[in-house]
Amino acid sequence: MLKRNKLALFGLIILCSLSIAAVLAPVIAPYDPSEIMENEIQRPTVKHFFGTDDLGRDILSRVLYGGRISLSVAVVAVLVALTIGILIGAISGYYGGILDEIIMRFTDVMLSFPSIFLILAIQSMLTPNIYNVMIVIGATSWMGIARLVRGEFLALKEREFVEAARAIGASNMRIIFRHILPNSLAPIIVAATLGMAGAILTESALSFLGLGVQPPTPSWGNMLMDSQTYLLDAPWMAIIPGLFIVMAVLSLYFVGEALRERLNPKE
Amino acid sequence: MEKLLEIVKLSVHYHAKDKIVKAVENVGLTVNEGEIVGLVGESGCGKSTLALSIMRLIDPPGSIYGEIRWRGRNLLNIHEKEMQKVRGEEISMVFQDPFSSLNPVFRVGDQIAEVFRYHKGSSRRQSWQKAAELLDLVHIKDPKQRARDYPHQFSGGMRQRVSVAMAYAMNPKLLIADEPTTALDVTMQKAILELLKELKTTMLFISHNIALVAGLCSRIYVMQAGRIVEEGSSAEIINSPKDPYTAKLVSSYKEINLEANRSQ
Amino acid sequence: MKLIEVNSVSKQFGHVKALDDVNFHVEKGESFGLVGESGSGKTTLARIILKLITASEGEIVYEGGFSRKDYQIVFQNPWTSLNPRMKIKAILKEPLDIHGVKKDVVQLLRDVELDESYLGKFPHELSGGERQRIGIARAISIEPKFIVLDEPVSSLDMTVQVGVLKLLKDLRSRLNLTLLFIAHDLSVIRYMCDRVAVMRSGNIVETGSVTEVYKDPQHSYTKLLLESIPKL
Repeated sequence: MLKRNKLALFGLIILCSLSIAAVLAPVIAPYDPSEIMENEIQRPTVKHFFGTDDLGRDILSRVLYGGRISLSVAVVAVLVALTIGILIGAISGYYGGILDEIIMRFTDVMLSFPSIFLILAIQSMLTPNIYNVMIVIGATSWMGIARLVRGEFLALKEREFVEAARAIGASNMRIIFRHILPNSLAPIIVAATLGMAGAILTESALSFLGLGVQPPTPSWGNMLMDSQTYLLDAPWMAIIPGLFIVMAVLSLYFVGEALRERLNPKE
Repeated sequence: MEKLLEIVKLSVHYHAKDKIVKAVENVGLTVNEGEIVGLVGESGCGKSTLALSIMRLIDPPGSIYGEIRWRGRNLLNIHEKEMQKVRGEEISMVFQDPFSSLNPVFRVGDQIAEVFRYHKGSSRRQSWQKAAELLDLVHIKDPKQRARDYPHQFSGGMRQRVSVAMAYAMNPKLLIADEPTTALDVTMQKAILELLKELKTTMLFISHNIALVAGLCSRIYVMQAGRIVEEGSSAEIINSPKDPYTAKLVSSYKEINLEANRSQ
Repeated sequence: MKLIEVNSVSKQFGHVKALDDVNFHVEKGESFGLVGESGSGKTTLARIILKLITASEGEIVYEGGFSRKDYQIVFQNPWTSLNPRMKIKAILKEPLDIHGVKKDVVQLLRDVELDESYLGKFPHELSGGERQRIGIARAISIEPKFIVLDEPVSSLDMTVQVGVLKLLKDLRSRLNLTLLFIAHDLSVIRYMCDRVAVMRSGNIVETGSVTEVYKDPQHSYTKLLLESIPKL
């Protein structure tokens, strides 16, 4: 798999590094992220590589643990969106007819809600925690995937190899899962990658507003929330998590775009 | 008899990833004025690449080596602007697919008229007049009316006639026909071949069907895997092929058509 | 004995009448040809016979009833009729799994003159002729009674066509198959078939034994088709 695209290569490296750092956080982090170590805010020093926050907690450790949270939210949210989206899109696209009409109108309704408000509304009604953040983000971002998958199914079900499968006696289930779905992976993968970028941003926004991951569990978003009052005095409190968010999102975009280019003129 | 086209040691290489695809390798081919010369070969042999090279329609990353001498000049050395004058005026081409070689959003008359407006600077009225004449020449009924129609309103066979009209518009010295009947029904095939014969233009006729080529052409080149493997008069090629590939082409055709031919 | 009987079948797609009151039958064991150009309706007819689409009017009677196991098809386009993401082994195993037929896929490959090295390959690694052979292997694997061959060699080079046609002839006699052979080329039909029906614009204009139709064509369209065959 040649990654001639320099940006994509760069993105992939960053992504891998972030993921490894997130997984190995308990091993790499120098300190406990909740441990109050100092009496006052420390600027970045050798002891605290990224400085400390207003409560004296080491930012490097927090940002590593925060990465675990943010990245796992992204992955699970996208998995939720994929599951719902693929199921709905496949059924709609494959069976067509009235079923397709109904499902698509429902999808349109969901799409016309400004999702961020929907999420805020739901989260404010529940007790926000990491789990419902994952589900809520996933449950409000499946629509694009459903449309995509429906489009792929509409096109692919007319292809001759699908007709051939029908001719040898394949059942609808077999055709959907063994024949059509494997051939529609390309746009799904692209959507998933870009979806993860979106999920990271959404989770950050939610946590920043206090409706996402609750303190003391660190997430990049709630670290930003804490940093608000100290922007001038201790800018590193905001810059570090912000930088990590940007790196994660950008690298996902680069990889996603490269995948889209590469997988597009297929075969 | 003027030697119109002389291809000397032509090679066309495409650069793909980390290897070089030699689409055309060391090809030599001549077309004299007044001849209908055939080029026969199967899929992937490079015949279309050869045709496109003559018209210099090969895009990078393709590299061309050798010479394509047209009436003395090497076409590979001239400026693109000069080549544009050659295309359409001196050498023109009829392509295989009548469905994609015409622009779907322009009227058929417009597309033919454009040839005159571009090459001769003719006025709109004059060029439309010429377009209608050409449509009549290729036996399209009600040519004036039909000129106002769009490509999708024509059948495949008729679209091919329109392509022939466009190619013939400037009375070119050489017409290259690249599998002009392959995408058409059998009955249309015959009609288009008759039409091409009627025009009496010097032609390079390219096809994978040896019978079609033999029926139309006086001389035949046989191409395989980028190379010319045999050359001769149609009678020689059909009756006493020297190259094993040529022999295979002829025998395959004969095998399927032997009984049919016997009953004619 | 008639294996299938097509009775007054018509098919309408919106305004277009693709098939208009088509009647013919295919005897068990024979190779029946259906010849016509584009728009003749032959492809639509093939799909109706295989219940891939439904007729607007009329019916088809199948001796012993219809089942996917007994009635199979080989498609025209070797580039689109095989799933590009499935290996050859999986493509060949699928019909066997669906119908519970136990067969050795290597033997299937040998039946179509290919060796076992093809099992691990993907369709795009095979040539057109090889792909058609896989399509044929897939169709015969579950031992059908009847196979529709929808222009099986039209997309292939002539030097490759002969090989595939010979294979089909051989398989037909060995496996006692009944064939419906669809083509636009009368010479190929002559080579492969016993009887032929000539179609034009959704109608059958002439039927008869291949020898009769060739020697003494009755309909003007049949004559036109015969004349259009380029002679060497």
